[in-house]
Amino acid sequence: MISRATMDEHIAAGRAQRWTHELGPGRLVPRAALLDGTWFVIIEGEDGYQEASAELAAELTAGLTAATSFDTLFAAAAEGTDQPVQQTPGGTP
Amino acid sequence: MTEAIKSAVVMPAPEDGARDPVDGHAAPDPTSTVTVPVSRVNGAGEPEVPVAAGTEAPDAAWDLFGDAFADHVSGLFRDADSAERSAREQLSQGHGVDMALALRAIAAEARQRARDDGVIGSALRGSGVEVTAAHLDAVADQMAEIGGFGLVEVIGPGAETAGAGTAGDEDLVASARADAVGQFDLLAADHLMPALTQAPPPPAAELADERFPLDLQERDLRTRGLLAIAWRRQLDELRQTDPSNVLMRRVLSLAILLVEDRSDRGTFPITQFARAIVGTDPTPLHTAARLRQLSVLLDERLLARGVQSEVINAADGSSPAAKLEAVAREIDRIASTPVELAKARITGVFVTAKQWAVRGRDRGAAASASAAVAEEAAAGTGSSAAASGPAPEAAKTSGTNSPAETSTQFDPDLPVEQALLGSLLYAPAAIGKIEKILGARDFSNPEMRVVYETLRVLNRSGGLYDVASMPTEAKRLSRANENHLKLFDALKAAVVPHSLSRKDIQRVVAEINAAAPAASVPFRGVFDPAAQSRLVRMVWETAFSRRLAAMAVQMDRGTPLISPDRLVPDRSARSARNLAATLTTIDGQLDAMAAQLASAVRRTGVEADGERAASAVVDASRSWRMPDPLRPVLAPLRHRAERHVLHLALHAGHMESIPQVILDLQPEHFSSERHANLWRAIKDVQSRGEPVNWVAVHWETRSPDFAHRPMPSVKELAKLGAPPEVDHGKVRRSLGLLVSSALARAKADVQSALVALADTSKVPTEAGIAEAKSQVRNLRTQASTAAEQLEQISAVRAGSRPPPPQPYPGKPQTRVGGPRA
Repeated sequence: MISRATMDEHIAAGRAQRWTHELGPGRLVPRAALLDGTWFVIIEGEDGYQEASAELAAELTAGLTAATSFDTLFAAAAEGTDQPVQQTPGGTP
Repeated sequence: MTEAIKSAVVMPAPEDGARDPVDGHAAPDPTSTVTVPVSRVNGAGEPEVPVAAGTEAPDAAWDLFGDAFADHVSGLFRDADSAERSAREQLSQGHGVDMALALRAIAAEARQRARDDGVIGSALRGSGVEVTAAHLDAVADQMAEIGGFGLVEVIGPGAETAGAGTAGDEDLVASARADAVGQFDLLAADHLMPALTQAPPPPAAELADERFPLDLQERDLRTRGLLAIAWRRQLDELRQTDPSNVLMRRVLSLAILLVEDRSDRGTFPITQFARAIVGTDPTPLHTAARLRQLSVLLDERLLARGVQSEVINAADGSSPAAKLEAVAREIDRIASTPVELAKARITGVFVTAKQWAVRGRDRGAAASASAAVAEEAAAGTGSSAAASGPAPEAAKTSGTNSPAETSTQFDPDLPVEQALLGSLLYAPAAIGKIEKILGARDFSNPEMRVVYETLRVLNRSGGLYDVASMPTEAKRLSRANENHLKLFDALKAAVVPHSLSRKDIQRVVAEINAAAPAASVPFRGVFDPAAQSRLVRMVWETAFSRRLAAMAVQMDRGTPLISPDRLVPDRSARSARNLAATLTTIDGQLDAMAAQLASAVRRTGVEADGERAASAVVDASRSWRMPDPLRPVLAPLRHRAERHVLHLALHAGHMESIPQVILDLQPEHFSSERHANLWRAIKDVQSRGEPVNWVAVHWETRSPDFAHRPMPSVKELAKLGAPPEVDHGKVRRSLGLLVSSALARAKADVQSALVALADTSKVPTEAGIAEAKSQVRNLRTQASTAAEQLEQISAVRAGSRPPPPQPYPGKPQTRVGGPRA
């Protein structure tokens, strides 16, 4: 288990990537972070981050890909073109 | 003539009649649904009886019912010979037992409904639906006799429970009975009841005084043929230029039909014509008014050309103008006579019974829903369901404007999954892309999943039309109907295995149609590709949240990526303070100059327009601004700093705990107009309490209320949709550069203004000093604010530098690059 504070430091130091996409009508964000290729999540009722199960990790990875794909799809549709938009992960273009 | 009238004024779905719903033009359809004929041997070993071919039997039965009812109301008697002819015709088209059963079931149900108390029962009795039911029974009998299958025992005339004693196929009987009951239910609830209880809307008063909007040339009036050609030409032009003007197209179609008719006034079926219009036209009185205008126009033009008038009018003793006037008069009469109106309305519903019934609530619900949305759109609120609404002329009479294309705001109450499925049904081009990322499991219930899978199957087989790409409204509606029928058929045939009952299917399809009405396709709305993408994302996000919640992952409000204690200026603050101090000194000097001048002015008098002249000089002196496209190249650091701050803001969610120093930034802090306008949009979204993200900001910029241009392109915005790099040093540098460079620009502007004011002789001295003081004071205020911002952040940094990160247990201390898209 990794405490919230420790994970925040990993995130601040750039070692971990927090899930940032807001989801659903409530615009909620799952408490999840990708640290060194491994997903860590806070489970309801727990206080710190724990390693996600294989199923949950697969869900989060697929979700992250899908969220980015939707941005691309939306941008292409809004521009009236099928050309995909190049995303620039981890930096301001 | 009956067929001609129907094709012109009735609005049939064109799958069988293959006619444009409004114009009556042929609309050949090479891919219309055709059920492959199936032969079967009945239990008695009698000759093979075809079960279905061409149009499905229940649909053909509804067609026959509608035609027979229309004839009856029009006074055309259908006798035994007529029944035999119909029977032979149906058999020759490949229909057999199922068709006869469908006729029996419809007849039985019609009789049953006519016995009901209430508005519908009373109206059905009054319109003599029993006569039509008897004709259907007669046709069924003839079919059984000619076809050699023992149908008479299947459902006797008047039987309420049409299910016992079949000729070997109870399923067929049950199916026919269920179809009749279900479709009568739909007809009654969605079409008959509104048709019988709602009066036709009156035309606007000014319509009576208007002239017919389309004129005629001299050459058009030489013969009937030329007149018809001219109107056809106008009809074609109208179809291209104003496809939503259904009323004018309908009037022109009627006029063509009238002018091409060679019968004299005595035999021309004016009442039949008018009844068909009243029964099927949502705004018959508007049509009558336009017909009258056209009649007046013809009279005027023909009176001016006596010889031509003779040519046109004397050909068969009938005048087109008189016919138009007579039809208009008859429409008014029928619409104002309750019994006649009810007959006409029932006929209108029954003539199109097949389309109404199969489409469920399609047109009725769509029309009402989309009319409501049209009103919303006209009122400026917008809605995702977009609007079909009444035709522009009808809208005009009801005080609304014609709906704008592509509403960009979503109705928050829109059932998202149904809207998406409806959107994909009529605009299936997106399915190929969407199915790669959206699975059936992302829908919340099994019904929606089945529909989605069915749509995918239909799309893969090329069975769906891209309705939105059709060139005319008529085509769009026609293709939408076909897609609808295909979905309905595929669900009935369980192309994707499911356990939905027929009623479930009808309900689900009706829900989908209500959320994305086919009639609103011309207005895009949820059929817009961008809206589709947004709907897809909404469906997926909800599903993904659901799955994460099921796995007990904690879900919270988003927090900002940058915390208030990580922001910093440095020596920029000192520079700003120095500048403010200098400006205070300059301001004092200007005060002294002004005081010295005041006594001189008192002696010479104040010069007029000095203030305006000073402002003009200051405006002209404003320093040159680099064009936006050059900024990334010639001022890359500043450009990146601005972009970086915007990028962070776009990922700040509700921005509740975002540092005040960022919230205090003004559009003027950004050197690029695009960045400044993007910041305005971000602040607008944030001020409404909505979460800030790039999609929300994009929609904000498309709002009619947001008038700032230019804006970054959608692609540029989308690039900012990826999570930003959160390097606090970089954040500090970006913010510092942003504030400092804004101050530097303001300083340069004021310097230029002061130089210009000193150099010019056009501005009176007193006005020049006053303007200089104003400029200096503004700049001093700006410098002080900048200094405070920078100092405040600097002070925070000094006390709260984050501790070095600790290694976490069990993991090597290696850097990760984060998820890549």
